[in-house]
Amino acid sequence: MATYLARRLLLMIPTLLGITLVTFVIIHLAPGDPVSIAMGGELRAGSMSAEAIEHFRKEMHLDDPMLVQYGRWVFSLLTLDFGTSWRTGRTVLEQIGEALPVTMGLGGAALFFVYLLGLPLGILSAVKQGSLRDRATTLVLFVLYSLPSFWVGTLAILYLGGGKYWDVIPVQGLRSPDAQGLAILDLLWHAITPVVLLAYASLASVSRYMRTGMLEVIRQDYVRTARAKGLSERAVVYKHALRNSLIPILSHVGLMVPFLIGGSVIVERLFGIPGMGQLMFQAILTRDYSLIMGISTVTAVLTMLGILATDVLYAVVDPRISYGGRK
Amino acid sequence: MNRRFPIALLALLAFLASGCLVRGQSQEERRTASEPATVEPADLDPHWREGTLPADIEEGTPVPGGTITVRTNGEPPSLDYLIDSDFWGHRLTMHNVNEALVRPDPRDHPNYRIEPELAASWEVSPDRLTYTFHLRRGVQWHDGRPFSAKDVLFTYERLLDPAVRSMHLRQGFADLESVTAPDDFTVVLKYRQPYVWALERIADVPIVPAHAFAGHEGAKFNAAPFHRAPIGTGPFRFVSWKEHEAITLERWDGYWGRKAYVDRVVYRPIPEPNVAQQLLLRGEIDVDINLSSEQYVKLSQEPKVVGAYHRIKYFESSFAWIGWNTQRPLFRDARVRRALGMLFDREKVRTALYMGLPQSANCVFYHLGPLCDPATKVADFDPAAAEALLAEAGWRDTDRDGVLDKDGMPFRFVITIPSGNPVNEAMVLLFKQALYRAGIEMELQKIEWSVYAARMREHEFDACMLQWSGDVEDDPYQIWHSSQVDGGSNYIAYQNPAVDRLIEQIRGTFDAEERHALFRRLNQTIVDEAPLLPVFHMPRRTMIHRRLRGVYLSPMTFFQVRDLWIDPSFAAGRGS
Repeated sequence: MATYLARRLLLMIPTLLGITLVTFVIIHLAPGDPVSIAMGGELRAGSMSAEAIEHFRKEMHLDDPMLVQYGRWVFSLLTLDFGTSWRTGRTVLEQIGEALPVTMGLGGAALFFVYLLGLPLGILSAVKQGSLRDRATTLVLFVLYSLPSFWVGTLAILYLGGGKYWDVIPVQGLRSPDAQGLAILDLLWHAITPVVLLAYASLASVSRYMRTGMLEVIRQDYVRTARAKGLSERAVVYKHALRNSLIPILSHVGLMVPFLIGGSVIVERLFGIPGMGQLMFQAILTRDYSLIMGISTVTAVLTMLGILATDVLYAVVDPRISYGGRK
Repeated sequence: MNRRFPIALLALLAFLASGCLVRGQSQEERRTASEPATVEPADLDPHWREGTLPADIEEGTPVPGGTITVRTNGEPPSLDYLIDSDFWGHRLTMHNVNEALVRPDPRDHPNYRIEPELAASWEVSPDRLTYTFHLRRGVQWHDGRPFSAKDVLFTYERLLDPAVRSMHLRQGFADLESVTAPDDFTVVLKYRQPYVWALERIADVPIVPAHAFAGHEGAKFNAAPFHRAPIGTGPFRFVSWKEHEAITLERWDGYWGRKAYVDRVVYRPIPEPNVAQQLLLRGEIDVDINLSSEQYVKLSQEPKVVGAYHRIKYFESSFAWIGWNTQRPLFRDARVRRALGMLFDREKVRTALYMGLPQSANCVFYHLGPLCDPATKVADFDPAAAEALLAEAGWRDTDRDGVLDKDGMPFRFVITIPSGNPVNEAMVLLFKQALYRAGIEMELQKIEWSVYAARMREHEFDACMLQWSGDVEDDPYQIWHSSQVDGGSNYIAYQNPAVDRLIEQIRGTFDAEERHALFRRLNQTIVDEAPLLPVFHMPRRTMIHRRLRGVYLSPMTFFQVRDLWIDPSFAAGRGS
C-alpha cells in the first residue's frame, strides 16, 4: 500500500507539470492581456501612454519567450511562491485561502444533501423498478436537472427575496450586514438558498448512479440466493445488495471533487458569495495570469488527491481490490 | 395506484404554468389584477418624474449619527487612487479618506472651482512655472501621526516614479520638473513649461503618508498593504474591507475641517441588478447610482420605492460615440463621414432603446460646462440628404447590385463593438438597416473588451463604438492631436492641422474665458469634420433614500457623504 501511494504521489508531479504547462500556454496565447485590462473599462482619455504600456509589460515580464516565463513560474512555485495578483496586489495564496473554505463549505453541504436525498431515491427506484414511484421520481429529478440554476436563482431572488413578494430568503452574501462576530445561525440562514441551488441539479445523476448500481447488483446470483434462503427483503436490499452497489457511487464522488473545489460562478455571482468560482471568473476576465495559474494548480492538486483518495477507498469498500498484494 | 402519477404531473405543470403566467403578465394586467396600490404616473411628484432633487432637501439642522449604505456595482481592486484608476476606488477614497493639496468645490457645478484642502493657500509665479503651496498645520493622519511636507514629497516622488502604477495620473505631470519642500509646511512644484490644468491635476493626486510604506520601495510600492487599507487625513477613516461583502468607513473625529455627520458609510458591492432591486424594495440601500434604464423607469410602479427614494438622473462628463478609422480610404472624405452620421437615427435610439433617458450629444466635451456651444448641432437623421451627400462624394450604385461603389470599390465595412451589451447591439442593428436602405453594407463584429482595447490602439478596425469619460475640462491633446495617433488615444487616427493648431492654442491660453471659446471652436470643427459621431450622453440613474438630507447634486464629484445626514423624523413609506 505504501509503495502504491508513493508511486501515485510521484506520478502526480509530471501530471501537474502537464496541466500547468497547458494552462499557461492557453492563457498566454488567448487574445488580450493585463495591459489592455489596466486601461480600464470606463475609458478615460489616454489612461495609458505607449511608454506606460511598455513599462507595465516589462514589470510583468510579458515580453519574454513563453517558455522562459513558464520556467520562471515553475521555479518560484518550488518555493511555494504563487506570486501576486497584478490587479489587487495581494498574494495568490492569500486570496485562494479566503475563497477555498467558502466554496468547500457550500459545496460540501450541497454534496451532503445530494447524497442524503439522492441515494435513498436511487435505491427506492431500483427496488421498485418500473413502478409509478420510480417513474415519478425520475421525471421530477430530470425536470430539476434541466432547470438552469441562474434562472431558478433569479426567480428565487425576485419572488422569495422580499420586496414585492414573499420575504423568506436573504439575497446577498453569507452574512447580514449588521451581523456581529460568528453568527452561526445567520450564516446557515444565508447559506440555505445557495446550497439548494448547488444541489438540486446533481440529485438526478446521483440517484441514477445509485439506481443503476443497485439494479445490477439485484440481478446477481447471490442476491437471488439471499432471497432463496428466506431473508427478509429489507435484509436482502440493505445488507447484501446495497454495500456492493456503493462502488460506482465512489467513482461518482471522485467526479464531484472538482465541483467541490471549483465552485459555481453562477450561484456565487448571483448571491455575491466570495468563493473560488467568482475568483477564477474575475481572474480570467482581468487576465490575472498569476491568479489563474495559482487557482488551476491548487484545483489540480486537490482534484488529484481526491481521485487518489477514492482509489484508496475502493480497497476499503471492496476487499477484492488490494493495491499492496499486486506484485 | 397508477392514477396518482398524472395528478403529480398536472400539479407540476400547473406550477410551471403559473410561473410563466406571472412572468408573461403585462404591467397593466398586473396592476389591475393584484396590485391596486401601484402608483399612477399622474400621482408621481414632479421631482420623481423629472428625476431632479427637491431644493429643500439640503436644508435643516444636521443631526449627527447613523449609517449610510451605498451600493457599488463592482468591487474595486484597491482603495488607492494613486495606483489604481478604478471608478469606485476613486469615489470611495478621494477627498473622503485621502485628501489632495486642493480640491474642486463640489457645490460649484458646473465650474468646480479649485479650493484649498491640505494646502491652506498657494501662490503661482507670474511665469506660471512655480506653484508654492502652504500646507495646513496641525493636520493628523488617521493613525495619529502628524502630516507634513514630507508626505507630499513622498507622494509626488512615487507618482513620478515610472515603476509605480500611476500612469492615469502621471500624464498630467509630464512637464513637472521638480518637487521640493523648503520647510515642513511648504511645498514647491516647478514646471518646465506652463501647464493650464496644473491645479486640476494636483487636485486629483491623493496624498499618502510616507511612514506607511516602509519596505515598499520601487515596484514593491504597487503591492504595499496600504492600498487595501488606506490611511488618510480626510473626514472618513478606513475601517474594514470584507471582500464581496462591505467596505466600511467611519467618521474621523480628529478631522481638521468640519467633521462629517454620519457615523459610518458602508459600501456594499452588489454586481447583480436583480439583487440591488430587491434591496431597494426593502429599503436597505441609501444610494444606488447604477440603475439600469429599465429599472429607472419601471421602479416608478413600486409604491415602496417611490415612497422611500428620490429618483434622480444626472450627467457626468461622458459621451458614447461611433468612430470612423480615418486612415481607411472609405472614411477619408468628411462628406462621407457626415452622411454616415445622418443615417444614424439618434432620436429613435434614444427613445426606443434607452427609454428617452439619454441626451443626444452635440459636443465632445462636458456638455453642461462652458466648453460646449448650444448652437453647435450634429446633423439630424436625414437619409435623403445623406444619399445626396454620398452622391456628391462620388458614391453611386453604378453596377446596380444594390451597393454603392466608387472607382470599383463597393461601400462595405465592419463595425467593431465590445461584446456583452445587448442594447448596443440593437443600436448597431438599427444603424445597419438604415445603411442598407442607403446602399451601404455594414457588418457587426463583437469582441471581448481586453482584445477590443488592443485593436483600438492598433487602429485595426473600420468603425468602432466607444465611450469617453473625462473631467469638466480635459486636455484635448491625448484624443485629438495628430501626434497621438501612435501611442496616444487618437484611435480614429484623425489628423487635421486646423485641429492641431486649436489644441496647441488651448494649451497655451490661461484665460479661462478665452480658452473656453477656443474649446467651443474646436468642438464646432470636430462636429463639422465628423471623424466620429457623438451619439449621446447617458445620465447616471440614481436612487437616493428620502431619509437622507444635506443632499445636493455634484455630478463630477459624486455625492458628498461628508455633507449627508440622516433625518431621524423620516418614517419609511410616508414619502411625499
